[in-house]
Amino acid sequence: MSMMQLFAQIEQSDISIWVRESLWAFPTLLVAHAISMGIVAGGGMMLALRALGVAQGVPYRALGQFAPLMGWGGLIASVSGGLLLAGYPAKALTNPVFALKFVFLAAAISLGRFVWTRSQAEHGRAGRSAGTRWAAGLSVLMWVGVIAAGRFLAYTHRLLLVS
Amino acid sequence: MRHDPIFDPDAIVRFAYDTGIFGFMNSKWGWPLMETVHFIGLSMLIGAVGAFDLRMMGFARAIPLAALHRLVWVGVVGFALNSVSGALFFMSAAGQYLYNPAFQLKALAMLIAGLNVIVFYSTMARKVLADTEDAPIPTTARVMAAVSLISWLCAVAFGRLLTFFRPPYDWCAWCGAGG
Repeated sequence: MSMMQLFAQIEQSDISIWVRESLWAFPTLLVAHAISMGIVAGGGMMLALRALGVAQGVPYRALGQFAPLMGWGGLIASVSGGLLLAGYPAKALTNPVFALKFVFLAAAISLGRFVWTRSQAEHGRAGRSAGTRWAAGLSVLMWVGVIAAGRFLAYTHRLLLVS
Repeated sequence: MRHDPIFDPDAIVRFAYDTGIFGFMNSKWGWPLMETVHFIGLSMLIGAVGAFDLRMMGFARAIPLAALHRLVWVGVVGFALNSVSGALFFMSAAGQYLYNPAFQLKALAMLIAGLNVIVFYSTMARKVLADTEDAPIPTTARVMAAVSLISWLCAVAFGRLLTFFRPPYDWCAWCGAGG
């Protein structure tokens, strides 16, 4: 089965049709994806800024109290994103910008985890090490990349539907 | 044909056209570039102001409130990015925004959020932020935090919807008939 046939098959599935044709599904998914991505990207950027020296009175360990919220944000972003993908598989999967979004996302998450671990380890020291600060700065750039790729996705697709 | 006694969307778009804004926004990458700026700004707003609101509502109590408030300027920068990018969208397609109920609700949410900022900083902020002992936060301040969080999230939600929802006719409660 070719990729195009696979996309066509997904497009004809009940869930894919529901995403495209239900009155509320698509707008609800767009709003859920926007807010959850805002939470994840915003939270990631705040962690990075803290590591770069902003709001130094905020203890790292305590910042962990926001971790469950980040987890929920990530879950909602994944589910809503997955359903949007199910609605228009060919639109995303024939567009290299979609792959780029996930490259940026993987880098942003990895760098964020690295900054988080290192910040805990460096707890109590006056400032963060150069490595931690570089990782923090890069993670902000990666979040910008995730956002840019996400927005440009809507303007760069070659196909919408193949069936 | 609508007759709008308050706003003149055609004049706004003409201004955008004369200043080159319209041309930039409708160039190949103008619109998605500004959408990117707009989303970066809203992430900064959610990350900084949203976190502060949640803390003031009573979450994440291990974080000193005043210390977390040092992050709020990031949200202000985010809001500035959104004001500029948002104004560019608006001026390039004024009619599609003004007469779209999603935009009207977004404007209302931002008005509430803005008034809430003014009320919070002129009444509760000094007391709440001076408290280094982490005393319980007054209910009034917690309500303001909830109003802030809900109204900003509504602004995001209606903002996302307005690009998706195009009303079949002009939605204008303040316009007269005829014209």
